[in-house]
Amino acid sequence: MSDFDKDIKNLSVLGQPLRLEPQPFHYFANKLGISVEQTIELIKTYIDQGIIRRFAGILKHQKAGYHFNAMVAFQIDNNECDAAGETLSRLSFVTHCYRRKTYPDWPYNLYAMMHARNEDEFNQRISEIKAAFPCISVAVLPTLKEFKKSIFQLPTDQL
Amino acid sequence: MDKLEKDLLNMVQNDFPLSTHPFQVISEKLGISEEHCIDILKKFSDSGVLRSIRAVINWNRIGYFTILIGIKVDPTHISEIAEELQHIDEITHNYSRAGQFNLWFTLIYKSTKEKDALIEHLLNKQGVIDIKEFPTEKTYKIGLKLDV
Repeated sequence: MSDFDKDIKNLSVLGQPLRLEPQPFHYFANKLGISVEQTIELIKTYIDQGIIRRFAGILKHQKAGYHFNAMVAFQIDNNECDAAGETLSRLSFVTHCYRRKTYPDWPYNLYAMMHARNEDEFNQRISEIKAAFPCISVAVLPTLKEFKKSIFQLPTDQL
Repeated sequence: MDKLEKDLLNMVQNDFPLSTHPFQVISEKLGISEEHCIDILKKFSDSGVLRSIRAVINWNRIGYFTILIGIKVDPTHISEIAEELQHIDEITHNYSRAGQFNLWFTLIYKSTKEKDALIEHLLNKQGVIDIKEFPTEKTYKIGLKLDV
């Protein structure tokens, strides 16, 4: 098995939800046929390599009280995009921020996902975002309905 | 949610210990028993507040591509398009939004051919007016953390 195939195999196991039990890494260790210590080292190695972004609890934001969510798209001079992206990233209520491809009829190049608990907070945060830096134009695209939010799971049956 | 529960959720979001007994490490910091710590997390897992504790994989590092795609669809057809996307494992997020592009989804894919075939298929659906691809050119933040 190549290193790459080995990584895929490891991640198909390590990418599964952690069990809520006293020694939760045992399950992964058993599946991988290595010790718990080796399993934890493996996760740390993947984190160091940037293959695993982080190992942490993920909340469902609506259930955690965040009912007002939006994608905010900015049209901003490319030279100013990095500074604006970094400014947005410092806001705790912005969870995702990217520069993306533009089109003549869709000129927005900077995107931020923002979250708020109620309408007042939402409006206040939108004002805060809009005032954070000058831009050419901005489109607020509130989330109307969440049809799907899932986590992609590497198939284990191919291994 | 009381202060202890909030502290616990913020702790597992921000600083989950990679140790043989991670819940013991957390419970010691909070001054509660390991059992109590696990019980609270189970409660939030059951109620859906805690989706999971897990490794967040950077797909781009292991041969996958990820992309945001926006669809401009006649509002009367939005539910049926959304319903179809629901069953595709490689589509992880799908939201309707206000604006001219009213359905937005994220796709994980391995080959451009695969992605293009999906877009082609969707363009032929009744009610679909336009589809645009918004690949990431630069990532500033992938946080996934929210204060509770």
